[in-house]
Parts: sequence; C-alpha cells; structure tokens
Amino acid sequence: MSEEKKEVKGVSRRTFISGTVAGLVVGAAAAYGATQLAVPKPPPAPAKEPIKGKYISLTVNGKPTTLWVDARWTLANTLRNQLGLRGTTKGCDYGECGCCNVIVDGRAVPSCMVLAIDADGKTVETIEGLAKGGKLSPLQEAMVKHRAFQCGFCAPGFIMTAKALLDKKPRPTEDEIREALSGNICRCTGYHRIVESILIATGQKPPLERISSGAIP
Amino acid sequence: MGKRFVGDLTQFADKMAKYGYSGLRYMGQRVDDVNGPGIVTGTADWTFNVNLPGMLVGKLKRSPYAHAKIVSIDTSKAEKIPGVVFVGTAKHPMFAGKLIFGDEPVLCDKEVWSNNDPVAIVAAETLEAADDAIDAIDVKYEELPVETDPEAAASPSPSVVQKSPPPNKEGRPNCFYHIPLRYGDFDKEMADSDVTVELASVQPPDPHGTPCTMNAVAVWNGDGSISVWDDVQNIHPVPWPVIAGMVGLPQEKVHFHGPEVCAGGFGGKNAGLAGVYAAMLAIITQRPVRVLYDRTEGLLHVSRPCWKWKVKIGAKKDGTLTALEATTYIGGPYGRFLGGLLERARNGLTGTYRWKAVKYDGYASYTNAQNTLSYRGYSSPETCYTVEMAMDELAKKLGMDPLELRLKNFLNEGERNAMNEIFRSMGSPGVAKKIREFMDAWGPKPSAPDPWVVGRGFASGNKYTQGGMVTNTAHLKFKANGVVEIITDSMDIGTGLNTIWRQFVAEALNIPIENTVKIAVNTDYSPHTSNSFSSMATFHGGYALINAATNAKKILFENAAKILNVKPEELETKDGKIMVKGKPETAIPWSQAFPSIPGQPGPASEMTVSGGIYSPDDYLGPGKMDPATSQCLGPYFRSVLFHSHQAAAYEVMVNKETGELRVTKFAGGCDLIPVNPTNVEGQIEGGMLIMGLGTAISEARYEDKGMYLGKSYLEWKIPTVMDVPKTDYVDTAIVPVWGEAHGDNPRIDAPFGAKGTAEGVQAPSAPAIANAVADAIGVRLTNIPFTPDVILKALGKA
Repeated sequence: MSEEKKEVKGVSRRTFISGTVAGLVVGAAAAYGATQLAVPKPPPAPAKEPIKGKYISLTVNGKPTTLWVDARWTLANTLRNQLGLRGTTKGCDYGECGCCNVIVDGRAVPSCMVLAIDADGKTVETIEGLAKGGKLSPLQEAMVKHRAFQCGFCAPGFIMTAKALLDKKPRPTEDEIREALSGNICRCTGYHRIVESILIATGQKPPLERISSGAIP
Repeated sequence: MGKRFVGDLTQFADKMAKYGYSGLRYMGQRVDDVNGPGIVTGTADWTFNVNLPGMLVGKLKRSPYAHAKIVSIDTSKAEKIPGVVFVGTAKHPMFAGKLIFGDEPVLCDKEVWSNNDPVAIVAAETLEAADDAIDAIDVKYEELPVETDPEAAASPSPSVVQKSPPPNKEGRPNCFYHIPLRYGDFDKEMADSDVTVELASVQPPDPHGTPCTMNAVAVWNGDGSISVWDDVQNIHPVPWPVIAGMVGLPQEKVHFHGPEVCAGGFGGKNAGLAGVYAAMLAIITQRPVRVLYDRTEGLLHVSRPCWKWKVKIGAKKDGTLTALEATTYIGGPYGRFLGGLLERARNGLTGTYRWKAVKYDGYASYTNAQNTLSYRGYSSPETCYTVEMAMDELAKKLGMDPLELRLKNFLNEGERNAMNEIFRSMGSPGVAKKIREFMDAWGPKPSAPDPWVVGRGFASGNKYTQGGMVTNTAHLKFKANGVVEIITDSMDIGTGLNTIWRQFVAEALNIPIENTVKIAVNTDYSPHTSNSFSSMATFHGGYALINAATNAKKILFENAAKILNVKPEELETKDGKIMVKGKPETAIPWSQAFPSIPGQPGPASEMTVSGGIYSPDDYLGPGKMDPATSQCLGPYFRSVLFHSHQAAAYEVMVNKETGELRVTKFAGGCDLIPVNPTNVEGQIEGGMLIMGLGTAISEARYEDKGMYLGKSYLEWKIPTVMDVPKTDYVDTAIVPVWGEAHGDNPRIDAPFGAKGTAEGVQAPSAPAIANAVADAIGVRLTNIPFTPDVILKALGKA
C-alpha cells in the first residue's frame, strides 16, 4: 500500500502547475486577472508535448528584461533566483502570507501565485525599485523612524502592498489601509506601527516624538 | 493615536550616576533601529537570502502518521530522477544518530512518533527535482495506537506505552519529567480558606508561525571544515555544538555565521535543525546545500506543547490569598525542551502573588502529539492564563474589584515568595494601576446593537527568566579613529538587539552612537555573549558590555594618567577623548592611551578589551534548590535572573448569534527601565496583539489521531490587521522599576535596569481576553482559542 498522502489542500503546487501547462501552450491569457478568470473559455486542445518553458519579456523596476523561464517557475522564484532580486521574500508559496507581494501592472499580487510565463509583457515593481539613488522613499523613511517592523521578513510585501494603495489613493483612511493590508501576515509587530507609519508618511498623523534628554514624558 | 506612556527616568538616572554612568545620553532614547534601512529595502542579511553558486536543494520526507512502524523505505525510483544528487535514510551512517537530547532520530528507521517525523532526505539540483524525489520515495508503514493527551499519557496505566524502554518516572510509564513544589501547610491553609475557586484549562499546541521558516545553508570547504549559515536565535549553547557533534567535526571546523537579523524566532529557531541537515548533506555531496522548511513543515514541525492545567486557589473573606494547588501536564514525541517548561511554570506560579501555601506538580510525558520546541514565554503565558482566570473568578465570588484583589496580594519589593526567593524589581502594582487608568479613560462600556455584547477584561502577567547556560563574554575593539567595534554572538531576532548593544556601549563609554559598530556574528571570532531566548539576551549581554566598557576605561585612565601627570580617578572620558574632570583643554584622544606592545615604542594601533560576569553566584547568590520541594536554600539565592511583570486589558465585542469575537480596544504595559522605548512598545504590541491575541481567539489546532489540521496559514489562523484594534485604541505603558542587588556587590540588579521584555508581554493577553469574554457573555470559557463554535457552544446555541 502506498502511504503517500497529498497533504496540502488536496492539490500540490506542482500538480496544479502541470495541469495548467497545456493550457498555457496555446497562449491562454494571464491567470491572475480576476476578470479574465471569470470569462468562460472552451477547453484548449491538449498539446502533444508540454512545453518546458519560454522566453518572456517584462519590465522590472523600469528596466525592460528578456529571459527564459521554466514553465514551473513562479514569478517570486524568478525574481529571486533569475533576476537576483532577493528583496522579495517568501513565507508560504501559496498566496497566504503576502511576503512576496509585488506590484504587477499597478496591482499588488503575491508573486508566488503568478507563473513567470504569465508575467510576459507585464510591468513589475519590486522593493528594490523604491529607494532612488540610495535615498529611502518617504514611506520607507516613516517605517524606519516609526519602527514598523521587527525581524522585517514580511516588510517588502507590506511596503509593496502599501505602495500599490498609495499610488491609487495618496491619503487613504485607516480603514482603507487595513483592508489593503489584510492579506499580509506579520508575526512580530501587532500591525499597529505598520498602519501608523502609513498614516504618518501620508501626513495624517504626527511622527513619534523624539526624545533628546532627561525625563521621558 | 493611542497613548504611549513612558514613566519618568530621572530618578533612575540619578541612581545610575552613583554607579559612575552618564545617565540618559542614549539609555531610554528612541534611537532608530540600525536594521531598519536594510529591512525596508529588502537587503537585510537574512539567512534566507544567502545564495551560493551551485547550491543544492535539501528536503526531508516526513511521516504522514503520528505513530507507526516503518515496514520498508524504497528510494530506488527517487534516485533515478534527473537532477537528484543524493537520497539518504537512517541506513546511511551520517543519519543514524540521535538529535538534541538523545531520544530523537535524525531520520527515523524503525518507528515514527509524530506525524511530521523525518524518514528520508534528498539533495537535488533544483527544487522541482527535490520535490519529485520526495514524492517518489515509497515508505510503507504499519499504523500503531496513538496517544496525544498529555494527561492520559502521564497516567500510571496509560493506554499506550510510548517508548522502549519506558522512561517511567515514579510509576508513570511515559513520564520523563516531574517537577514538584511544596510550600507551607497546604492542607491547613486550603481548609481554612473562606472561598475557593477551581478551574481547568486546555491550551492546544501552537506553532511559532514565523513567515520565514527554519532555513540554513552549509558548504563543504576543501580544508575539511564546513561553513554554515543558519537562521537561529542562539549559537553557542545549541546549534553550533549540535551541528558539530552530529557531523563529527570539532567545533573549530564548523564556521558558523549568524544572520544580521534572525527572521523571526519566538523559540522556534533555538535548535538549528535545518543547519544539521544542511551540514550533513554538504559533507556527503561536497556541494553547498540549502535546507528550507516549507510552510507545512514550518507549522507542523515545531510548536508549544499542549498544556493541561488544573488549578485551585483559596482566599479569606477579605481577599487575602491563602493556598494555591496546581497540576499541569505537557507532552511531545521527544523530550526536547519540555522539562525546563515545568520548572519555569513553577516560578510563574509562585511569582506576582503572596501565597501562604503552594502545592504544584508538573508532568512531562511522551505522546504522539506534534513535535515541540521552546515557545515565546516558555511557560509564562500558559501558567498566567489559568491563574489569572481563577483570580477573576475569585474576585467575582468575593464581590471584589479584580484590580483591588490583585493589589492586595502582589508581593512587595524584597519579600520572599513561595520558593523562598527574594523578590526584586517588583512593578506589578504600578503597571496594573496604569493599565486600569487607560481602561477608565476608555469611558463607560459602549452599548452594542443586539446580538452584539461588549465585555472588558484585565489580567496581570509575569516572566521569570532562569539562569544558567551562559558564561557571558563580550569584546570591545577600540580603533584609533575613535570607532568601537562590538564583538558578541548575540542574535538580533527583531527585538532590536543590534541597536540596543550600540546604545549600551555608547552610554557606557559616553561616545556618539555613530562611532559604535556591531560586528556580524561568526563563531570564528564571536565569544559566547548571550542567547536570544528566555528574554535574557539584553540582560546577559548588557552586563558583559558594561563590564567591558568599565575594564576599558580603567586601562585607558591608567595610561592617560601617566601622560597627563594626574591620578586615574581624576580623569573622565567623552566622545573618544580622555581629560581631567571639568578641563576639556587637557583632552587627549583614546588612541594615545592604548597599551603598547612590549618592546615597541608608542601605543598599539588598536585595543581589545573583554567583559563579562562569569559566576552565576554574582546574580543568583550562593545557594541551591531542594529538588523535592523547590525551595531555595541560601541567604540570597534565587533561581531566576530577573523578575518581570506585565498587565493587559482588552475590550471585546461578541456576537451571540454567530459567535464572532472582535477586539476593539487594548492597553498593555510592563515594568522595566527601557533601553529603547520604541523597542519595548513594539514588543508589547506584538506580544499582546499577535501571539497573545492569536492563541486566545484564532490559533486552533484540530487533530485526528495525532494528525493535525493547520498545515497552512489558511487552516491555522493568526491575527491579521483586521483582527487588531484601530490605532486610536492601542495604549502602551512602560513603568520604570529597578531592584538593587544583594550582598557584597550592591548595584542595580539588571544592566542599566534593563530586564528582558519580549516574552512576558504575551503572558497577560490570553487571560485578559478570557476575562473580557466572560464579562461579555456571562459564561466562563477556559479552553482556548475562543473560536465562534466554542462561543456558540458555551451559549447553548451549537
């Protein structure tokens, strides 16, 4: 008897990916756009040989790039391993934690849930694109000053999610910030300072008082 | 914005001046986290980002059963998969040993004890090949009976005898640890009580759940040594010797690199297990290897154990506490750090309150539950949970205000507790009163539309860090350009230690903080300074650094005295210069006072000075503990390094139709001298609003025959930003308290008054939430977490 169990939610990543490869061969559109997913399509004709991979072109942090990607690679792993952009961290590989969130065509998405071949033609922004000329962005600056993170492993995902929000809405309310960040998991901070940092960076709350000497109020 | 209270530190600064320190130049200041820029740009040196050319992927094949006999393991198919470099089982001599405390196989050979036990290992060129190989390994099992209940397992006649030969502590076949405490005339005091409260609680296994799972990289060097990068919380006590021992190399041949920031620990990264497997594979394959646990392994491999508590407390009519009886059971497939938990639980019980008699028994037994590891608080959240609920029930029975009952019974500074320990730096009353002040400022309880009900709850907490395991040493390297390098093995795990160390050194040497550098941790040069577990890193390392600075000043002043023709005690130092007190015109740079090398003219180009406090007697006092009664014997002896106290209050809303629970307001605080108030507040918020809140409301573990649901963040829910109160309703308080040490060496009994923070802050959260829920729905729930189904059942609606 085989004791092997498919333990993770009934379907493993590779089962899922191999099942989608055939569809991708015939040029199916990107899988992560909710509107596109909702459009019913006739089942594609099965390919004789599943492709191993292909060349994709994408713009990462403003720079156009062309590279060959394996059909099984996620965008997260491609950014990290092929493009050397290791600021995008990974906490789950199942879109549950938000650590690997990057901005794809203006939307914050978990890059572990996007196949690299589906990112063909897209514009991708990662944490590496935020600090310009060695200077932190105001959002990053506020997060350092306000100690938004502790171990910081989840920080790149939180910051990219917040940036996608601020790009659309420069002064979001606390409720809007909470909703935007609700897919990001942090185990250290209690979220409190992350939200406050965004409110501070957008001029909606005063920065934390610095203490110079003597008694602390 | 919520309130952020930090008490006045001027009195403490005056005290510090008496011991020769400048005061509050950097102590108590909100210095920016030195790791901050690296974190917000994603460039922090997490082990997760170590990347070596030609690196292989190492993965473990794990058991699907909680208890089973291994009939056969067939690796032949896996070995043939393209890209697979190595497949190993316990048949390979490298994997035939036992881990940590000698009861845990590196790879299981005959039997598995928990549903995530490793049975085979793979190294492959790619993640895809490694995954395919893991799937292709064919393991045949024969299921065996399972026992996951730690109380049933501890019985004299358990349904399953777990190990052969059985450990058999005092006629309990599965029990391997028993800690008793006996104090006072228990039977008499309990019988004389006017009121008693009995309470039982079950707290399920709870994983640490760090987004970054255990991970390590190891590489085989041509000279027969290995280099290891491991995402760990400590280096010298566990991971370094364990890895060296398991691969059969002397420690000097294992070059161990700590990360700049450990990517979240909470106790789950104390053992360096990923490093053990990475090192073994690196030696076998002679290639660099990364072992990174996946999400499921991260949640199923380690957790706190299941705790079962039974508590009975008594009091007089006026609220004076009389007797405490407590029994607890914990268990796991392997011993790991379970024994120590029972000792710390004993400390937690005897702290905070004045008891006339205490009777405590803690039992640790082998079960087929999920594997365990130290977990934030190391018993203090689990102990305080049960006691603090009982205190609220007692207040209700006595018709007393819960805060008044506690204030009446808190131990005083210098009083002896039920373990005959002198109690130092007791801040419980101050913190409790401050938190009540915050609660009062919330105004009257708001009314909520039906079917919502609102409740508020309060609880105290404690964390008593025990001594031992450390001979703390730190080096300071003084350079001619005025920079001081801080050389330690202390891991910043997000608590801000890299910044705290610079604050300590800059304060002790009276130099600009910009002139201090914390050097990366590497066993090639790092001494054993402090471990980022049990909230002891700041305590141990702080002492060592202050001592090193004191020693350095002595050398500098002696040498400078000769140059300036004065006595050493007439000198002072500021900003890297030495001068006659009050005469800045006499200043000479430090570098002129560096010791010279014998036979060479002039001072050496740099100076390295060490510091540390080697003898536990220095802070624990001479003495010992009676193992039969847990009573401390000796004039000043105590089993703990420091006493730290906390309090928390929550307002919750409960929907009586759906069982939904929302936390709407929060206040939390602790008692200490803050090195960096921002760090302390971060710990209060994180400990109380993530881990404390999660254990209480959402982190449920569903289990069937030792197989756990909760393999992902979707099945095992930690709080998200939607679960915490809004920023206007998060109040924190830091109440400055310090104790003075005993005996011939009088001083503040923590370095610059800085007691540990990170764990105790979790202790009062779950009981405060439990008390709030009881206030809201009028029913006392004692088993956490309070998920909607549990609440509905309590209301008779499920």
